[in-house]
Amino acid sequence: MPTGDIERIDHPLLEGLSDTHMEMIASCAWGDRFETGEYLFRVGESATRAYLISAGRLALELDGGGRGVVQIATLRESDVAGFSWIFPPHRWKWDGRVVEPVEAIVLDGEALRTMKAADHDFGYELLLRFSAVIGSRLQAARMQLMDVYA
Amino acid sequence: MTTAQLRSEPMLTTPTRVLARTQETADTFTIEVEPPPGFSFRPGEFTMLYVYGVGEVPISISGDPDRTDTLTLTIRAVGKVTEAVGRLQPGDPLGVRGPYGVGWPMEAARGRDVVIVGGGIGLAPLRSAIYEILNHRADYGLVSIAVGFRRPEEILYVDQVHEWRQRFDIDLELTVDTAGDTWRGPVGVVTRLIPMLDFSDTAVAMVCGPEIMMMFTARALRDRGFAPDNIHVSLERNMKCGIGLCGHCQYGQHFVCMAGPVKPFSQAERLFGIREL
Amino acid sequence: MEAASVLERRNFNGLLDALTARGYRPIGPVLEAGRIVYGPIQRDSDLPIGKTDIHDGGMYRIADRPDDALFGYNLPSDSWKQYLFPPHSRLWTATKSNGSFTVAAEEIDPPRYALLGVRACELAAIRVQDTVFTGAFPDRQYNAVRDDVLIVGVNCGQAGGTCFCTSMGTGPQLTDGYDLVLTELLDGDHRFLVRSGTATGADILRELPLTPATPADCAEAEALIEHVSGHMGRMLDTDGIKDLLYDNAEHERWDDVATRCLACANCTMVCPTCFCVTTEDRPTLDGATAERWRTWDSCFSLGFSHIHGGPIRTSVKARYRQWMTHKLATWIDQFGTSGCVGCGRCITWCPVGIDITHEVAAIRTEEAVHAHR
Repeated sequence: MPTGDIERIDHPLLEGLSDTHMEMIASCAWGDRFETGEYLFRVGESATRAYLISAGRLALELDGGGRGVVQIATLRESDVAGFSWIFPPHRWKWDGRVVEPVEAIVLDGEALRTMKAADHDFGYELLLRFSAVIGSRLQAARMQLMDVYA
Repeated sequence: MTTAQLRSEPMLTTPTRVLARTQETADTFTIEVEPPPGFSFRPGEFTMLYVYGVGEVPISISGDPDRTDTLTLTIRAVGKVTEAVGRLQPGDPLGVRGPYGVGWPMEAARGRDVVIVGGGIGLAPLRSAIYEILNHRADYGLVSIAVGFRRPEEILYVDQVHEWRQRFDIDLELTVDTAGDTWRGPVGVVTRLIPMLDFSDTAVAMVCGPEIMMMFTARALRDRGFAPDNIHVSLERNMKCGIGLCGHCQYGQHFVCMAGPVKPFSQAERLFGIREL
Repeated sequence: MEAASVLERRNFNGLLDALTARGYRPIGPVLEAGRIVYGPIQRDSDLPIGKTDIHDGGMYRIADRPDDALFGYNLPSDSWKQYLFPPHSRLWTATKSNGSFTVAAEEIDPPRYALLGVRACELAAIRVQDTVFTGAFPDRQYNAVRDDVLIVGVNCGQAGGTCFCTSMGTGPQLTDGYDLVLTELLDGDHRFLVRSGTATGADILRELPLTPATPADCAEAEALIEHVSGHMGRMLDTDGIKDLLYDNAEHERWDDVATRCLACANCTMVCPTCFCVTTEDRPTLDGATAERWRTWDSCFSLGFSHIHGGPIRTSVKARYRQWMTHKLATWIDQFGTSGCVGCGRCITWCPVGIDITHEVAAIRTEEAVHAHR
């Protein structure tokens, strides 16, 4: 599935990467489209991918049992879904359900793990970018926690 | 000072009556009131509503400034007086004073792009500005509206919001903090919508919601290139008189009732930053 | 300035008579329950003859003077605000009728007070409140009372332990804004140097048995003022005070004062400029009428800043900061003057002796220390 075509990989997460690093990304990336209702991942499953979204809407949600399904965030164009592939035990923490057809660049997390372990410069660049994603999601979650419309 | 000014009691309320009442959400309702003679207002201004024998409360006007036949107010029942207003039915009496305060910069916004960001009940005073813009649509540039609510059930003016979303001459984005799986829109706080909005660097922003929401929103707008002078927020403090005499609404050097409620973020930011001011 | 005349002590009642004859109700200092307050005055014997008051932080005592001075005290505990801006007043009454209600503003019959013994700092305080109540929405009741007030000022013959009018530029000498001003002279014959400041004041003087003041009388009055100026109990450095307080909203001194402040609101009640009020709606039991009252309120009360969800200023620190910053800094932005006239009442009547002049000095000093680090 990897296309190896770096021209087609365009996402804010990858802005400013060197050609070498871009080629490394391209070696384990491919484009894909997901239809409404499809699950990109389910909670507890092995997390081996990241999705760099270029269109559509993906809901991060959990089935709260008696409380029903709770959507906690939706991701859209320019967002990134998936950082569980970075940290052991590499399991998804949420269900990722497609609300509006999603177009995304899919990254192979297992390949990335191997490459970043072997090439720390690449690993640094990659983790810097994913840290920013984690930071902004943490901030968004904190703001939800603050109940800002109360 | 003229004798007439001295003779008139500025705290005197004008008795009028409720024309209609709509329940918006579990705790929020909209009432239409017969306007006192000669009543007119600018978007963002507020009135003091009086319920016979119960008390008075400051409420922003949420209606169409071009309509003189009705005065519309959206109220969240959170205290003794607002709960009493909530029990009023069409035909019931209530008193009105005002309008008071400094509202949204509608004149300054003419010819420029407008960004409107509302959170929860904060959409109420912004709705007057939206009416004004839609009544004179050609006078404004791009108009982007972003609104956030806790849950889909708490969306204010839900039919109107969906109607606005269908219009081609404004862009409206709506988000909620959490939702069930039937919700097909965005989930997340309203600041997450800001990167999606379109505007030029001379745009004017009008932001209303709880202080914390306005602070985060104004900072996010600034991060997108807004000058703090062009971002306007609506301040909230306790008010007993609405006319600068009771002292309750002081926020730093400002009497919110007279110098506000709408202030540029360039002035509000320092105040937001001081705890318990 | 009008030429000065001399009113002999034995003719003082003539002044009271002239005031009453014009329909004024003289209000002045009276000794009551161990303190000097303002109350109705009919004869000179109602005044605190031969008494004085000793002031310090959280301390007040009445003491005897070695003479029979009529105005030999420093400052009553209550200010004139009691009369010009009463603690409770009804604004209007609503009456049920035909499924709705009507409202009628409270009728005002101005009491025509003659304020007797107004100190320079107190006249300054009245003028500060004038500014507050004659803004965009002039206060009807205040102005109705105020417009009919006659002011008989009395220059201070001594400074109290908590006085700092010279720091605030408000005293100790009355310079204008009075109808009459007296200086009590106690050397030799007990007498008053008097001047009028208005036509009404001049009319009153024409009815009194006066003699022209001698250069010696005037020199003694001036010397007295000079002596008082040099003996202030407190000092407050107002240089750049607005920015000082704006820049130090998070100063650690606020935490310090909060450990002492009881949030009792005494300072705001005795302050002659504090004007905050709350409103109260009082329906009758049968609901036939409902009155709207306003009563003095204080920024020290927890409910003062209440909005839905709770009060904004929950800590005593925030409430003390609000009060002091309003008085000395934000007031300048709001009304073009300081809200403090240096009368010192907030120091005297603070149950724990918190001293506004010390608090400012502490912030100023500690700021200077920080700046040099």
